[in-house]
Amino acid sequence: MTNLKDKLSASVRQAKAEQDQTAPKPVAIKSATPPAAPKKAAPKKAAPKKAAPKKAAPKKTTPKKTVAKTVKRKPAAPKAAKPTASAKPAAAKKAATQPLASGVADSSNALFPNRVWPD
Amino acid sequence: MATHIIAVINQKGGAGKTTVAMNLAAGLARRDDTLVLDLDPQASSRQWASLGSAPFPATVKQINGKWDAKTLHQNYKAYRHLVLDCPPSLESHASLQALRACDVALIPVLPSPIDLWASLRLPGEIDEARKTNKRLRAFLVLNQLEPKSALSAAMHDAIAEFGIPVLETGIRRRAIYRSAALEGVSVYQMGGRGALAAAEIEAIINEVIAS
Repeated sequence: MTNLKDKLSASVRQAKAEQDQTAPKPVAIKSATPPAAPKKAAPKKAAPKKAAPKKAAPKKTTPKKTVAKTVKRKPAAPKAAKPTASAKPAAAKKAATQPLASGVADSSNALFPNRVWPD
Repeated sequence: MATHIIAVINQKGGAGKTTVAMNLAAGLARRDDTLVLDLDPQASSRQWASLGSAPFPATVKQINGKWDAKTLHQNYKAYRHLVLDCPPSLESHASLQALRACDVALIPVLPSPIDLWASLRLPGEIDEARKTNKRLRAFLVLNQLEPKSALSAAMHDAIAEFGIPVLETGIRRRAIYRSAALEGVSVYQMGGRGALAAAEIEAIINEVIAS
């Protein structure tokens, strides 16, 4: 009987704790979403936008200023973005380049660059 | 005299909200004019009241659409007691407004761990509602207790983990509650067969009113 009471109480406490753990998650997701937007923007600038100016170049109508802006943003984004934010685009770039060279050898560095881990 | 509002609420379906609400209302109707507001889209309370050959002791109405505490007090000030039979969801407009409008939130809980786990969000919601509804008092009421079951006996201790006071009176698992629903009446109208159940409901009313 006492065992049953304890079990039941413990199960409620555990369920409560799990609920408390899951409750803050949405908040964390919310706070994580703003950095996620720049992340999305960064890869767009990195890969597809390089192609876009090339196509635009023959038209001669695209002002050089816009090209300069995009170039400036590229280095700015990884600098401004904090460890985890910058890690993914960097990893993506390396992952994209490495398979061409060796494939398997440096994949650990590409996935987990030193900058990811805080001091 | 101001209308006294009791919300019978639990996010878990099948906890006995309608059974408690309807019999509670029947007991309150013996004292003063009482209205049951069926907030559940399933409309079980309305269905219950429509089955009876005799009129149900309390008036039963269903409300849909948007409403708030002010409209409840304005529209139903003729009644001394208002019993809100809430839907099995805390996300619904009706449940949130019920917690903001009521004086007492009565939470039926079955003596089962699954029901306990499923009801764990309620204390937080009640705390949230208290920010706007200062007079809100909440009580858990154990429903469908089985005296010979060790689990039922262990519930009183386990339920204390909720941090919400538990009514001394629990409702026992009795076939008469279901029979009354089928006949469209309350346990008060079931004669001698309903006497023990009616006594439980009376004890709950006295506890809630005295609190």
